[in-house]
Amino acid sequence: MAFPIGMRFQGRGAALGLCAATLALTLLAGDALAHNMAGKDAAFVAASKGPQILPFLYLGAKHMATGYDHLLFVIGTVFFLYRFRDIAIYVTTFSIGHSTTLLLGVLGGVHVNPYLVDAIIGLSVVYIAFDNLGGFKTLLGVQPNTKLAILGFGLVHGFGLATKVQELNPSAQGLVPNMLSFNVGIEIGQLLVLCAALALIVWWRKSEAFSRQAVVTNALFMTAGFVLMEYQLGMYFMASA
Amino acid sequence: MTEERKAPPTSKSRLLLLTAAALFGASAIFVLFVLPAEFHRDPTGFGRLTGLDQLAGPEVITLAAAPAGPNSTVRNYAGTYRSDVVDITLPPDEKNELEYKVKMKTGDTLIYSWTVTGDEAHPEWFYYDFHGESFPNPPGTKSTVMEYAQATGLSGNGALVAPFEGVHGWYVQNQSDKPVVVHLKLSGFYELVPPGEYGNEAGILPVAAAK
Repeated sequence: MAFPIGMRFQGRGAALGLCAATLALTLLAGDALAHNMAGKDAAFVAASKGPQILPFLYLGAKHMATGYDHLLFVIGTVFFLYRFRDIAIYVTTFSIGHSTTLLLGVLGGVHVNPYLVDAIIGLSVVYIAFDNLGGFKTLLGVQPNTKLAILGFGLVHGFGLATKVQELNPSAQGLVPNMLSFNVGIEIGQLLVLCAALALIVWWRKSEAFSRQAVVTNALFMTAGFVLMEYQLGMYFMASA
Repeated sequence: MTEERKAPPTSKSRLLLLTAAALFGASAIFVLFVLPAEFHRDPTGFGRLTGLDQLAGPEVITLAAAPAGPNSTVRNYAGTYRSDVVDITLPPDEKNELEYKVKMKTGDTLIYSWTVTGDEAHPEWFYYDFHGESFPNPPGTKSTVMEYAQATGLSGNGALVAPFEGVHGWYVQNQSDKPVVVHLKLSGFYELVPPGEYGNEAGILPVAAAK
């Protein structure tokens, strides 16, 4: 009774674990873990002077759509949400959180340590997956307010977004319209990925095995979150010296 | 409050197991893969075994450059960089010796390279004295001489950081019975001594000058 997953899922569970491990290792390639803006995108931001509405919109969407740290959190958030209204409320809560600190960070010139912020973002993935498993209620007997947690982690994710933009020293000319476009782009990118993810999850939920696989998946989300957190703490303690 | 989140119930022991497994799995990935591939740390040897450690690239150890002073690593000069080629002919007679020096301020750097042609069979018959000499200040008082090298041979390459302001260069002497030519290449921060003045009494002119 204590180890039903290991018992029942030896075959499929192992295959699933292998897939997740492969995915995790793919993400480990160089800068991918830090999820920085790089190459020609970075050069564009650094060189832009004056408003560039559509390019920044695109960059925001691209940054979010390729930002698995943010995506893991968002997918974790909607994992067990069934009603459209709930999904809209939770995702909007997250968006309010990260938009606030993205704009506050870049426009208000608030600087935070990018490694520590990214470590907390990793922790947020662990938190949401643990919460999905009913971890707090089962272990501690209390259920912390998930919406509040999502708002709080949203604020942290926004600082994470802000540090990536700040690293590129964007020009003060046109900064406000550019950052607003970037922010709108982030929401668009998030919405696009969310639609795709929800389509898959809704289809997956019809499967009989969903509830058992969902447990494994959230355990793997926790694993991914821990790896991200450990990597960022490693960067903070070892690489910033 | 969380009614809308329909998570399947998970038992306490399974939850603990899953969380522990997640943390253990993540830490294993971190120690086995991330540490060698990203941080130059390979506590298990797994990185070396699999070649993952190559991903981290060469490890960089940052050293502080020696500060300004006699041992400074980087030297900046207000003066103009120059380079000159000088040929000094030494006949095998009583005019077989002369001095050729350049003016340098304290800390100026001179890169030099010279070879002697004419009597390659007898390197021991070409004698040189590489030294520096301060300007008498005030005039009439003693000047300081510092010896850098006194030897025989047909070539020399090196760099001089002037220990004091003055003229720095070579006394050269052809002891063979053939005429020889010293081909001297200079570059760095110095000034040529005009022909006839102290340090260039023989009136040597560069054959090529590039500012």
